[in-house]
Amino acid sequence: MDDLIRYRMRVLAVVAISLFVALVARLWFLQVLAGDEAAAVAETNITRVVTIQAPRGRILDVDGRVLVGNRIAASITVNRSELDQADLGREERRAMLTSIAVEVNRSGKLLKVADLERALANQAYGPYDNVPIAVDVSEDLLVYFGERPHRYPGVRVADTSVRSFLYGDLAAHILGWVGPVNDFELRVRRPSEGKSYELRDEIGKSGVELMFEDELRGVNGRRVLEVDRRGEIIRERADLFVAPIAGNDVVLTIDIDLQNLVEAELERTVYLARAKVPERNPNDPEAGDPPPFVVPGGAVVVLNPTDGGVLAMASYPTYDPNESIGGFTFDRWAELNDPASGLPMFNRAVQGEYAPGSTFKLFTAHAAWHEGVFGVGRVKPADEPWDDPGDYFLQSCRGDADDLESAGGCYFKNAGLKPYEQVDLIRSLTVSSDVYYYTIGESIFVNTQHPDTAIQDAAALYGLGYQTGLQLPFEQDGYLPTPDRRAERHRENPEAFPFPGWYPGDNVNVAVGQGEVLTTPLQLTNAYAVFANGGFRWAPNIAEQITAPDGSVVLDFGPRLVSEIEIDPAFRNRVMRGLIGVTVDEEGTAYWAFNSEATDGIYFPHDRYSIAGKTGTAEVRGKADTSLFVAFGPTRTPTYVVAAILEEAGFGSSVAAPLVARVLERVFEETVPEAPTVDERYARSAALPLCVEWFRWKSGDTLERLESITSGAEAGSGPVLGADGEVRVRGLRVDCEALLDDLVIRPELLIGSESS
Amino acid sequence: MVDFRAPNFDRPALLRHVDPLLPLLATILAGIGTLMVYSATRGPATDLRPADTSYLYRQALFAGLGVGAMLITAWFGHRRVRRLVIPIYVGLLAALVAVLIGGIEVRGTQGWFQLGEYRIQPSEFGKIALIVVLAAVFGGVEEVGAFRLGVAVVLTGLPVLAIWLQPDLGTLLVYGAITTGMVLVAGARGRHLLVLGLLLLTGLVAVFQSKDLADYQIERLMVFVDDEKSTAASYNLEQAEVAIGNGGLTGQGLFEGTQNNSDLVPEQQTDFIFTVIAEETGFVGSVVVLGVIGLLLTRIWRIGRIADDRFGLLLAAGVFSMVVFQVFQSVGMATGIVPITGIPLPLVSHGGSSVLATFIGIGLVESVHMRRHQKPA
Repeated sequence: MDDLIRYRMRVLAVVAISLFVALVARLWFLQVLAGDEAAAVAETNITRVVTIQAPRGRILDVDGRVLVGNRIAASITVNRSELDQADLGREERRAMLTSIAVEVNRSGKLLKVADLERALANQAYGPYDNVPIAVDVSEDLLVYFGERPHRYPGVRVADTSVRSFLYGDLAAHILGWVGPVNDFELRVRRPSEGKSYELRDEIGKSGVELMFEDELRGVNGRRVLEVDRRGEIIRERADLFVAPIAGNDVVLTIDIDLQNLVEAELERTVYLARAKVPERNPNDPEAGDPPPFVVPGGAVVVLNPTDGGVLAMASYPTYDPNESIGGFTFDRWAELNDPASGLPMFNRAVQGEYAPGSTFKLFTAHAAWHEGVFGVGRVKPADEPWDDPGDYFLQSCRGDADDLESAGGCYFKNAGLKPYEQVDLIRSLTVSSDVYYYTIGESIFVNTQHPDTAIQDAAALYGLGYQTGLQLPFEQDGYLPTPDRRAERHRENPEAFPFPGWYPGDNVNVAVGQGEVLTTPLQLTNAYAVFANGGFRWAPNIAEQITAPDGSVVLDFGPRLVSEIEIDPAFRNRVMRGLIGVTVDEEGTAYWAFNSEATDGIYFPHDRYSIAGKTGTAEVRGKADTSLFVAFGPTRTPTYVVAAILEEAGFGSSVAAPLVARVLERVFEETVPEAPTVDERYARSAALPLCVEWFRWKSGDTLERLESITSGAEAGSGPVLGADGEVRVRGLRVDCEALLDDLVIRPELLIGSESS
Repeated sequence: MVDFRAPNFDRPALLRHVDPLLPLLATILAGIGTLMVYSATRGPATDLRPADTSYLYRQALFAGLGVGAMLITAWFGHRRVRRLVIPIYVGLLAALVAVLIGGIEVRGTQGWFQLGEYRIQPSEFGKIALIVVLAAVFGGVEEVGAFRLGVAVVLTGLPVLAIWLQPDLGTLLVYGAITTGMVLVAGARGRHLLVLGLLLLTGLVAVFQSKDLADYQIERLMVFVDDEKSTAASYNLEQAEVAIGNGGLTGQGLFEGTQNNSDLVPEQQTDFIFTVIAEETGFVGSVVVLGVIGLLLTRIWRIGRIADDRFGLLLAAGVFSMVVFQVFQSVGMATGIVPITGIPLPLVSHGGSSVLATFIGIGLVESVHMRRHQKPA
């Protein structure tokens, strides 16, 4: 090879060397000569990334009314590093926190110094973060703390967006609540794209807020600010700005007016039931002192049987999710989770499991009819009346621990040992004859030609014993006892379930929805919906649609059919007649609830709307009976199914049935009152004294009129009464006439709601 | 002291003329790179948020793969590679066309294939392919005539066009640098070079006049021209210079760079990796890293000088040009002496394709050294 090419390699080397020299020279200049300047810039050059919270999606009712939205609330924050820099002594620090607590309490929000200390110790925040110590405080504090920076180092008042439950405690169990994400959720949750969680992000904790967390949560944006050492903003990096994207809205199937009515009726019924004293049964001399009507809780579900939409769902006791804003206080959280207070956060409608009692007879009848039990053995044909003596003797009972002492055989009896004459299938439902179903229960077990679990299988067809698939968290299964399941339970836990065997007595118990049978109120409602609509078993919907912030539909749930079951029309006709008899026949168990006002029921317009129903009174050992009632109507084409269940409340006919009667009457007569928002409730309670005055003035004599006019004129910035009977409170108008009318429906709405 | 120049006859024939310094320096450089990539991406570690090690593992994996690729290439030999020059070139063009069709776009450049969780950038491997092709074209003749120069321009032009369409200005410039360096060494007549230079100038003017250049690219270039312009691009440059200056003579210490930890310099694990080195190890560290690169270049250059065939010599010249240009461009833009264009610092910047391709190039050069006493088959 020639040397020329090797020579040209040198040219390359010279180029490379000169480039390297240039680089090193530049580095020398930047790092050694001008290094101090750059270091000074670097020292003050800190960017701060400020997350822009994306607004959480709203929750709307079926008519598009906003149930849950967001609002701006003032919150007090403390910057820990600034607080530390202030170098306060222990006493001074404590004094400062105490005075913060005092100021906050003065503005109307309860706050303890211990709460402040706990909030300040929150490890989810970095040393330079503003740690919120009190959320949703009065705006006045903004001025107060803003003017005294030297007395309260690091303390600021800032506006933040918080969740707003516009109807207060209405539908609280459905809506759920939100709180800061915890370690467990951070680990377990798989957030969708762009929705990952930071330590203090808000997350749905229960109800729709939890179930639709991924939809409701928006994608956070961010601002990047350049700040100097004192934290002053030098400039904003517009190139790094990311706009937040709001979360999707969830549209529920719930009608908030109906929900309001149902909750009010449930609460009222609880109070009425608690006031009653249980009577000693004169026909049953063995019985001791009956347990009192404690009524710790109850649930009501209203379902549309044509598509499985949940129209209302109430659980008592309830709570106000607005309390969760900024976190429940320590004491309140303990109270909410204390069984003694009835577990207000527990959604009894989907989580409570109750023995269905006589409401279960529908499924026993279904089994008997479709398995050909009628007319075989001791069971008479369905249409042949026979006399129910009021009690029933079983040869080999066992299994039921209550009757162990009567070893070998035992008595089952109707409620109050009441005998019924001339009972056939139809009348057995109307009067709720237990003996009729005891006979069926024993016969199914004894006769080998019937499948042993015919009753349980029929109940399962209607969806009992399984989660319904409603879009709410923590739904329970209920329980249908069978010989296999009992043996399995015993195998797994012999101590808790000492009896592995299955006896005719167990079948007799199952036939009337006693023993170990458990259903949730929603399951029971849905099972009756299956019967009402002729055999379509829907998975109930609580959410109808998911819509994007621009209004476009992201997801439409629509009716979800689980299965379709065969109901013999001849059977359905008979049962329907029996169930209608419950509300219209004088011997019907809910007759007085639907045809009298003496038992808190109403005179139901039977001529226009026909209602089929079934009462249930489930025995609970050592406690008062569970009161149940399920009804649907109009019977020709049912559009409403309502179930009410009240714990430790007595007979289904006297507690649950009147409640359902009152609800259905308003629904069909279309007199469901409009649900008040929290603001409206406040306005009403503030307006009430003026309205009472106005009412007196209107109906009183002239002298009183003159007096009240002078007193009304002095009103300053508070509620103002107009001569037409309209009170104006904080920009809302309250019509006194309507308000006084509503008092009849929901008196508690005006009592003690001052604080909300 | 071992005398590396003396052939060691105890070793098998193939290993007799191994240059151990070349692969050693390359590996050291890749090690420094892995460490600095980790520093650039670990983030400010706290108790609640441990350091991010995903980039570290990926970079270490590719550095390991790269060393393997280098050894395999050296064993395979540059002469066998020469015989494959046509399939290599066709493969290069096919890959560049395919990436325009089925590739994915990252930061405005459609230059990657997605393979599982990894991305492959064919234009990085294309640099080595181009070196091999040009070395083969110029390798057979003593003096490069107008015809061969034309062929070389066309052969370079096709992949450059494809990269232009991605568009990836930085890689395109590297291709240009490789071609320029190799033409220079291969020897072209003065007037040919003049014509070529004029062509290049016309092309550049056309590029700036055309609407094809993305706004951000123009903006970056304008920042270089006009110091007063305050934009996102000038901000990048400013922060990079602050970071480098903040390093001072001895640096802030590994993982301690405040500019680095505040994520103030964009792309600091790839194109701007040098800012992390400069901030955390200071002037001393920067010069050491440049020194290691310098030593590596010296070995490559020396191998070119003592190569016994033109093909091998041109291979070394090509790899040399590529590394020199990339280092100058990458460090130069971080220090503000050349306009900002995205180019990785060879073997140091994060990016599997770049690391692998550079190691393969080093392997070829090593092969030239190993086989310099073998007569071509």
